[in-house]
Amino acid sequence: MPHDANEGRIDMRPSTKDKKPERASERLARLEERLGGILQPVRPRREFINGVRQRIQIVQRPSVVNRLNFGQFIVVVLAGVISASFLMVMGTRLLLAAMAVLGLIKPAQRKPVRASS
Amino acid sequence: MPENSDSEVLARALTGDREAFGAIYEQYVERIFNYVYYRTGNVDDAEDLTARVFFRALHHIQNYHDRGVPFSAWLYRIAHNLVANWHRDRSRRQEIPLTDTPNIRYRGELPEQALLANEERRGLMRLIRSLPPERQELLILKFVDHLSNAEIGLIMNRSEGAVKSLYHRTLLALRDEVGIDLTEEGE
Repeated sequence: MPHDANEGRIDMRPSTKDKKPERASERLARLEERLGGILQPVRPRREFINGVRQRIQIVQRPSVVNRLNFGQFIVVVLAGVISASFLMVMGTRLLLAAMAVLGLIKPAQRKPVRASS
Repeated sequence: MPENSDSEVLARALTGDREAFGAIYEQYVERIFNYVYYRTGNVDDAEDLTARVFFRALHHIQNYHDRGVPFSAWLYRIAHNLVANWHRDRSRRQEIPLTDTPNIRYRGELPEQALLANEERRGLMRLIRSLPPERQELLILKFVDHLSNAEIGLIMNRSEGAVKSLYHRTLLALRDEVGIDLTEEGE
């Protein structure tokens, strides 16, 4: 894109009528004033603002963990551990019973308990 | 920065409350948009990056910890990183025109004033854009967002004195640039 050769040249010279050289602090103050005049806040489009706002509300992912407090979380974890242990014991007993039926293992024989006289 | 009065809303947003985050978004969207717009000079990219700033903040809000750094500073840092990535991706382009501003109106400015000021604005904007990124950032935060040196320091991770010094050096550099142009014009 072509640019004007005079672009970027800011006329900050004192007027020819003013014979006194402009002091450095005054030039800086003028520069600040111009910067303040140019770097103005801009307002984004309302459609853009509303669009992003809607997307923020819509993109809602369910998070069960965040809704549980610490006590509830501990209860859920303990319940899970106990359930898993129970299932493992039951599974092991079922497997051993099946192996005994098939004759792969010999079931342990209990000693008869003698009645004491 | 009215951070303290919004601590309750922020606390709710930190727990994943989208409504609360929406309120925070409404509060900061213009400031972040301004920052991104002046860093990119492009409305479309400014909108895209601004949206990405808030979605990144939304998905990483659990990482925000209030250790003396206000939430707005955290947002500005996200914006800073995204803009830096944007510049890196577009590093082959030498210049970004600040011309696509049909949907943006300067507050309180009449169309006639806007036309008259356009040439000066473009010239000075070119000078600002020739400054290092941190100096551009400083000028935007100071003049567009009207932040104090202390607030700018929190965003730029510098001390208040360092910000003040950088600001002074930036003004001197701009003044020198203006002086060079005037010399050329006078010849």
